[in-house]
Amino acid sequence: MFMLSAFMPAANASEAAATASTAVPDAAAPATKAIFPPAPKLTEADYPSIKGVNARVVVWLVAQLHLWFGAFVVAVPMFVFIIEAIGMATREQRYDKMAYEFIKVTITAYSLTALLGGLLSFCLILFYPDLFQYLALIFKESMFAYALLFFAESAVLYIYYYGWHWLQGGNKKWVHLTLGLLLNAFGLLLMFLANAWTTFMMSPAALDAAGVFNGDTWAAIHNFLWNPINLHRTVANVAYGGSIVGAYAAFKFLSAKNKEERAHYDWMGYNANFIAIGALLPLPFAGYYLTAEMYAYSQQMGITLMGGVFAWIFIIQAVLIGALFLSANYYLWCGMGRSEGAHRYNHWIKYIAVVLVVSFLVWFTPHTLVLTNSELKDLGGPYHKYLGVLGIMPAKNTAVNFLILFTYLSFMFYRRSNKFVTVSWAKVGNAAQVALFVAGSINITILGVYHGYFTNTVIKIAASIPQVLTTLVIIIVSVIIDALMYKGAKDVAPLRWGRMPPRSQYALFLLAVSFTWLMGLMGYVRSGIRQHWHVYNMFRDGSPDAFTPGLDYVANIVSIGTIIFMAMVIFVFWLSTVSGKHVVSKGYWKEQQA
Amino acid sequence: MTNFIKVCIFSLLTVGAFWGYSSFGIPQIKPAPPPVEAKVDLGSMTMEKFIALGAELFDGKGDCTLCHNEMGRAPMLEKAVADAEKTLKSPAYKGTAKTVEEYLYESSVSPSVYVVPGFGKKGTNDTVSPMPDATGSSVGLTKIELAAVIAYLQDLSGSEVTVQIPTMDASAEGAESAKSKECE
Ligand code: HEC
Repeated sequence: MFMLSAFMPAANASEAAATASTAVPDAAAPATKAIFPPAPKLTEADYPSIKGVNARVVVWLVAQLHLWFGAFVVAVPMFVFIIEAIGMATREQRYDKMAYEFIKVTITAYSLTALLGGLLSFCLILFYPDLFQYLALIFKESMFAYALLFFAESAVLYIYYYGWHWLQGGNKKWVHLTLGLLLNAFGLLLMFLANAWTTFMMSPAALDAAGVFNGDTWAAIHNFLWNPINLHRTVANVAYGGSIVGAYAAFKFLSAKNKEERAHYDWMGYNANFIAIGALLPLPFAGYYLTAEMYAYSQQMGITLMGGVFAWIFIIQAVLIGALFLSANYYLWCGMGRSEGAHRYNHWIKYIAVVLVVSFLVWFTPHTLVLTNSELKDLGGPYHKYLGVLGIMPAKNTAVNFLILFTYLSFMFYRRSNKFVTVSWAKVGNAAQVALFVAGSINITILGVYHGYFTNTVIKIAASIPQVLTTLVIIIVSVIIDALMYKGAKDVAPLRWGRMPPRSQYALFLLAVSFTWLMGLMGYVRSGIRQHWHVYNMFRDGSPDAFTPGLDYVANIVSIGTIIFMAMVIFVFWLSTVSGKHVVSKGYWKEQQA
Repeated sequence: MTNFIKVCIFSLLTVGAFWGYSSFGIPQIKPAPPPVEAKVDLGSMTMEKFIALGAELFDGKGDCTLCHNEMGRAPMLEKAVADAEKTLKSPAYKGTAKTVEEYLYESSVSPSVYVVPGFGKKGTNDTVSPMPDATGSSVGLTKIELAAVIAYLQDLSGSEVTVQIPTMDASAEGAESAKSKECE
């Protein structure tokens, strides 16, 4: 009667038999072709348990720790490569030294990543054997390739690191840089492969109605959400890696013994912060893209993501990202103290601060939540009584754009603070900058207000694209004007690296901790939108832990994970300090006869 | 050393602040537990109970209220019967349903046959519905359960319920075939 009735429990035995034969379409295919099993239907008894161990929490924590370290070690080589290249181009050795120091921190983190990856595989085999087997069959080629690639990656990393001082000068330096490129290629490839396994569970491809896989490796890898996640993770990793090495520099700064060390680590912290924020700015756009693709893949998944419990996650996310922006700005403002010319800009800071704080507040005003009816009843309606008007999406988009724009402005002031303009058209240039910002801000506001309060679209996000474009145009045009205006500009005085109050360094710690916590939280969402499915809509989670945990529970796990991670990171930092120490113990070793 | 301790305390305080905000700063909603396969006891089934079952499924396992709510993501179903009558008369309707019951059934299992204008998947010009098949794997209502939901929708619209309560043997066979599926 209806085409799709074949997928329903059959009404009689013969129909059941018919379903069974269609469920394995490859049965008659040549024997060379692997036959994949249907998705198993599991019960609690199919999940091995260890007394006193909560399998899901263990896998959750181990996976998240693996991801934190993995993100860090994939990201750092990216900017190490760039910094090394800058050093080669400018022939300033301090770049080379900094790049080396970054990679030095990564080495221990690299082994920890591998160890945690191994532990994760063990945990999955132990606690989720059927799921692991199901996925391993589909991904056998890529899993094997992954294992081999890991050797290649390790080899290159070790040569890159231990050969740093050996491969110096002339052609050798080029060889070294090429190794850096290879390292990045392997690192990214590894991550992309692992991403495919994850995204397959969210947006499975090439499965028939019974969960029988009927495609090839590429079809499984190249599933719907693979590229959106690849993009999002790559950008986020850079930001994250930057924040972690920033914390490293901050720690070294605080414990520095002399002026030179303080200057060096101040400079390193500045660069790390620059990397973190530079990668943070495009991240919301990668996030929008990922979310849009989820909607496109499955409306049900999209609404689950933005509705119900998960909706509140995005409020927390907004708070965390707001904290990131505020601390980054604070760090920049403190950094203006390095320059003798900063007094010309200092009085603007308070206005920037006001805009940032107001945008931040608008951003985390609870917004229109997509809820199920029972949840609506619990809360008494989707809109907040008084703040509802600020809670709608266009108001938030407007706020985000202002956050980004004014963070850029902080950065511009920072850059300018140590320069004298010399070009004759400086006045005109400044006027143009002001006009650009004012016009742009007005445009963003009008777009937000118009779309937010005077249109009647179902989802009021129509404004977001022109708003983002406005922001981008302002930033790009402004960068160009500034670059021309300050071409050949004189420095006020050499920058006083190290002239930073110690409290500024805490901004860097705040950045690293917030990033870590945020990643943990978003990891939960990414995994949680599958709800009670191992493989979305195909392979049901039959374990006692199939339920979606509430936010308070999540906050506990993420906080515990963050603390474990920070403890391990401190260990890594400490190791890199110890390795540089040489203790002379007089009288311990036998005197060597000459 | 003091710096080390200060940094540790600062980091712990930061984590604590996020933890506190997430635990106490926002309303806690308990996510719905995973849907369970409830045994439908048809022996003592009355129409009243059948409709109540449909209402429960509509909110719960069926996940219908995820989209069919006040947020405008999908048409409200309070007047589903009247809307269906209009649709059946409309020249734009190309489906095979003749009665409201058939239409509701068709809309639930093959939603793309007729897409309510303005609610289609983005970029498909209302030819593809974003709604999942209610009996497909993502929602997974059984034939009996879907019948209950449709009975509920008819009742909700204040019109006569034409859905028949399925007979005992139908459910017995359904259970058996479900078992044989598991052995595959
Ligand atoms: C992912 C969101 C989503 C879910 C979940 C969902 N629907 Fe829908 N539904 C829609 C949309 C969008 C439409 C309008 C487009 C169309 O006609 O298919 C619709 C249309 C319908 C219609 C036709 C309405 C009319 O006026 O023609 C019926 C009946 C219906 N849904 C029933 C259900 C039932 C029963 C469930 C639960 C088992 C359900 N829906 C779950 C999104 C959803």
